[in-house]
Amino acid sequence: MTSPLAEVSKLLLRYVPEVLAQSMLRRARAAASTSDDPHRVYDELRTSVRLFVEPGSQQALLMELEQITGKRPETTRERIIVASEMDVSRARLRARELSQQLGGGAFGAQRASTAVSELARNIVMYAGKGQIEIIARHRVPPVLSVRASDQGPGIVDTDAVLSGAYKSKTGLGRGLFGVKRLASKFTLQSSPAGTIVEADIPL
Amino acid sequence: MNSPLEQEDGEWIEHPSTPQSFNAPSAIPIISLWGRLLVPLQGDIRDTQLQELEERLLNTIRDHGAEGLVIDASGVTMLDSHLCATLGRTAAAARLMGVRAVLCGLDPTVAMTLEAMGLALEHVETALVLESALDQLGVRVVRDEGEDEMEEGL
Ligand SMILES: Nc1ncnc2c1ncn2[C@@H]1O[C@H](COP(=O)(O)OP(=O)(O)OP(=O)(O)O)[C@@H](O)[C@H]1O
Ligand SMILES: [Mg+2]
Repeated sequence: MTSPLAEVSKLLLRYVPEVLAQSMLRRARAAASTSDDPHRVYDELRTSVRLFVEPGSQQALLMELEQITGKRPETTRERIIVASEMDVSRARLRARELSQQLGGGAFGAQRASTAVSELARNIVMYAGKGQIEIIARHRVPPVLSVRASDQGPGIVDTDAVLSGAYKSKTGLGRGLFGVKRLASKFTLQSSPAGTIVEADIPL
Repeated sequence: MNSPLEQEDGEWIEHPSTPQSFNAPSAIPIISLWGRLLVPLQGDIRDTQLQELEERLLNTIRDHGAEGLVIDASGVTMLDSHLCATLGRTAAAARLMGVRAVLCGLDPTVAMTLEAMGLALEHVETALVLESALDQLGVRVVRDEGEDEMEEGL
């Protein structure tokens, strides 16, 4: 069995001169090495095809290319309105499904689902209503970007909350602290006008 | 306030809110077993379900007594900070009424996630599986002529 890139190289040679084929592959590899998205290399190849290949044969080449590389998986973006306990359940279930679609393992799906549960629950408990946005990113490893936003009263002492020192009246006071520990990227903005939490959960 | 996510182009799939009354969760069973109470938690657990359970469980203990309480969490899909707190509170209340509580069967991914978040299930004894939980509460298995039979120990 030949590797996909070797196949791509053979395919290019049928359409363009060898020097050009080599430079197209080099560009693609360089693009891929600066990104953790496996499909970046194919994106870059498609761009090169549009730039360097004679317009008449572009379509045929792109179709053959797609047979080797497969279609680029779609990035999924979902917005879940959260205003009830039922919505919290739906949000965490959706996070689990999206994680599984991304190919995240059982532990990854569990972490993503739990993080979304914490954020959605806080919205319902403290702001009444808000939204959870989820973007499923095909990366290595896959990432679920979660953004929770509401127009509630805001968090008074964000420092205490994020350091795990917060004493909650309504729970363990460990929800946001826990989400932060699950996230590769975490930001919290809060004011009397509302709260936005953004967390990237690597799967 | 805008954010990187808002600026992302592409289609958004929208999920509107569902009214609370829609698809009300069913009550969690309380099973009486050799003088112990067994509570099997299954699937996606909601706060109101757990609150209702807590009340009914403590009433059952008050009215009928129990030599122990086992919460079997083997069917639970997820536990977050709030659910842990509620379970811990229920176990602590049962303890105050003189009943030992053991939680068993936690899914490895649930346990690993709680650990990663720095969460602990306070006031709750744990066991790997239902059998060891019952064993901890003094239930012994006596095998007789190839047939399984349960009997009380100590
Ligand atoms: N979206 C929000 N709007 C307003 N206040 C919030 C919001 N989210 C959290 N808070 C405040 O921050 C505190 C800490 O939140 P966190 O989720 O860490 O713990 P908790 O909700 O108190 O308890 P737990 O999540 O462990 O059940 C809350 O008690 C609440 O006062
Ligand atoms: Mg919380």
